[in-house]
Amino acid sequence: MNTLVLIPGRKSLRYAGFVAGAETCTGSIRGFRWQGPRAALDEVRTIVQAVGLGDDAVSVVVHGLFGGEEFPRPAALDQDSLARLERIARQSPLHVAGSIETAYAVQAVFAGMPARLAFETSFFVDLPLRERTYAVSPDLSRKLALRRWGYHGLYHEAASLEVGRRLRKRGFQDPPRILSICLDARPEIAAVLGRRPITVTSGATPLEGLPGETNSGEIDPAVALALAGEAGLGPEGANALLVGESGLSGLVGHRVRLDDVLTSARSECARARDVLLYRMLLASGTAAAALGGVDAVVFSGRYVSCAAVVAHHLLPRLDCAGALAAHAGEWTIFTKPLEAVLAETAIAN
Amino acid sequence: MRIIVFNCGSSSLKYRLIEMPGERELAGGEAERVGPKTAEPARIHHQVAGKKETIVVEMPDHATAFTQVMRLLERDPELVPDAIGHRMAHGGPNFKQHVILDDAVMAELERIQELAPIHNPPAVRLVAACRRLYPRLSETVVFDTVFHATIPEVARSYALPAALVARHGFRKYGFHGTSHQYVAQEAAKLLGVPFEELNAVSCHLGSGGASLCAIVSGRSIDNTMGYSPLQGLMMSTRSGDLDPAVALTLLVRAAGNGAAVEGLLNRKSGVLGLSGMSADIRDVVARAADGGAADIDQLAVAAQVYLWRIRKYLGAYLTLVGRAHCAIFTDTIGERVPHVRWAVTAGLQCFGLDIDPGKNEAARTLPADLSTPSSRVRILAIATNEEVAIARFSYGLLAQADAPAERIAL
Repeated sequence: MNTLVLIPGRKSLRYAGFVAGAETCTGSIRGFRWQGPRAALDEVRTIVQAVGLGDDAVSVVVHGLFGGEEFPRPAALDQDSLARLERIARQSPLHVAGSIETAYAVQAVFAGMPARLAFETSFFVDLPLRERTYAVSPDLSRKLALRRWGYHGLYHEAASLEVGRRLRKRGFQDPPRILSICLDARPEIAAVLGRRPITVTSGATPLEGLPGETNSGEIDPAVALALAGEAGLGPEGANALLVGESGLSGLVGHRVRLDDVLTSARSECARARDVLLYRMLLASGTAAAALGGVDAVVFSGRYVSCAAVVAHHLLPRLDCAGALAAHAGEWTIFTKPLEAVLAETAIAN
Repeated sequence: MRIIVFNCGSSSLKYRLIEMPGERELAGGEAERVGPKTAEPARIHHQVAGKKETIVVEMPDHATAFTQVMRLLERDPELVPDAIGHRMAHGGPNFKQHVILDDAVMAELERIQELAPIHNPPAVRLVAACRRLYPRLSETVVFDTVFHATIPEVARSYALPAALVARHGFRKYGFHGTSHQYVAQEAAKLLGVPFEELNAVSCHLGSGGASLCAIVSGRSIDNTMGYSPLQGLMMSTRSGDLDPAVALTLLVRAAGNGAAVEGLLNRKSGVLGLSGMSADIRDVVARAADGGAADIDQLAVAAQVYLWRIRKYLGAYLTLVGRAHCAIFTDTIGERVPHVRWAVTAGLQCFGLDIDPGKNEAARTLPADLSTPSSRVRILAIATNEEVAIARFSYGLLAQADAPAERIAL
């Protein structure tokens, strides 16, 4: 079966075609939310047909960031899954609205072809209660559907599986304790025991956790309230600032990418890099405590090519504290891009 | 020199009269229900040389409470203070040392008091009252934030635009510094390590607030609290860490009423909010273990979340510190609840922590070493004594300034 992967974003629609598991085409359609998902998908269809992905043998996979507890695993795109998406729309309005729009467009443009939905949050549906619960009243949590999620579950799951396979080949019997580090625009660290996530740095939204390219990551909640109040931004303005103007770009003073910050020799990036690596060290120590030690460290994500910079900062310190098992010093990188992970995930499920 | 140390709460005033440099406690007590009238009368529990008495007296404000305490002390000429040491929660960006009070200090205290709206204003009012009523008495101010002045920029920075930070001063300050420093000094003595070389993680687990502190070479390098005491661990009524987007969502739901959201997160969350039963983790742990309560699941979750957050930060800070000499448990919960110490350290042998269950359960007299002989990192329970710490700082400042403290004229 050939596969077409669709990753709708805020500004563009990424696509990738796979024939017999090999990527044959990839690209993005800019302004797809503005011009409408259907027009963008028509364009994608034309492109993939030109490289031999015929309509009759293509399985479509649609990526979603947030699937809530309605989607503990990938699901067929049908009336039932659309209804489930509608039910969770209020929990993450922006992200789910994009998924719904894209899903309807897929049904229209690729009518009759099998289509599936795969979500980043699915891996974290069963995050332990002690990890996913915020220290507020249960009534409030229920009303707001408030709990912790991870937002790079597809990378964490695929990378952990691969590490587990490698360790088993080397005779490792127990479920491995894996420190999974996703280097993406919004980086994320998870502690994974075997195939089960134990901790994750992101929160109810992707804003919490490590600082990203434009998101602040964790801050004192009192600062968020002060931004809205004393700083005069109001809740929406404060949210926009924390999501879109903070993080590494805020520290540097202009828009930067995570790989720039990690590898650039420019002095303007030094402070942002130090802050990011410092937060990553704390998160790694947290994960090690949650797991009771680390058997393997794996890197994944769009900027996995920068793994060495991070590994050389974190691993000696984790080792010094005693958190790394003897065989964990050899960190590994999971190089598959998200498109390939999605194609395989959809087939496996 | 006799120094009276005041620790001012929003409706209470704790005090201890300590003779320095011998650190002998001469008298102490607490004024309760200071402020507007409550269902029960305001009173002072006063203690001298083991003899306790309770005095019922109206105390509409901290100035009155202070005056009443001084009257009690003045009954005995040997209990008349030579100087006053004040505890102040927040020192803002400019107090990087503890200070002797003067006009400039007073002005700065008043300027920054809204940085800690629950803790600082009553303490500042008390300082002002002491100055007015006993102008010839030397006063010092000891800040919870000073020990954390050494937290490096990388750890105190939030990932926010620089211009915004410059305008509003958003940064991590850290709190409970006086306690963290005191128990770390005691740990260094216990272990025979010069304080300047001590590497440790200090766990100040109070019945109200709680924080962890990473200490390298006797200096604080990080603290779980942040710009305010709200960030970090789950506390008795404070939520601790929370997705900032959630705080803003709550603000929208409260129609922009920031005070209501601050009240919710500071006074109705944490152990109280999650358990729905008590703000004291001891009650929650006991009821959860008891197993008979109808709301057992929720109590168990509250206990687990409380313990889990401590364990996670403990791992983070042990990684930060590197080769730690010890992990220290202190304050009400840290000193008196073996289950908490066990639950947050068990299974952390990878970090060199190996707790001895027998020693942990049996520890009644502090300080106590709770670790097995083979534990690379010692696990210590040490009673904090912020009042003695404040008296030490105050005595040091006054001696250094060579300011002869004057006896109050009776």
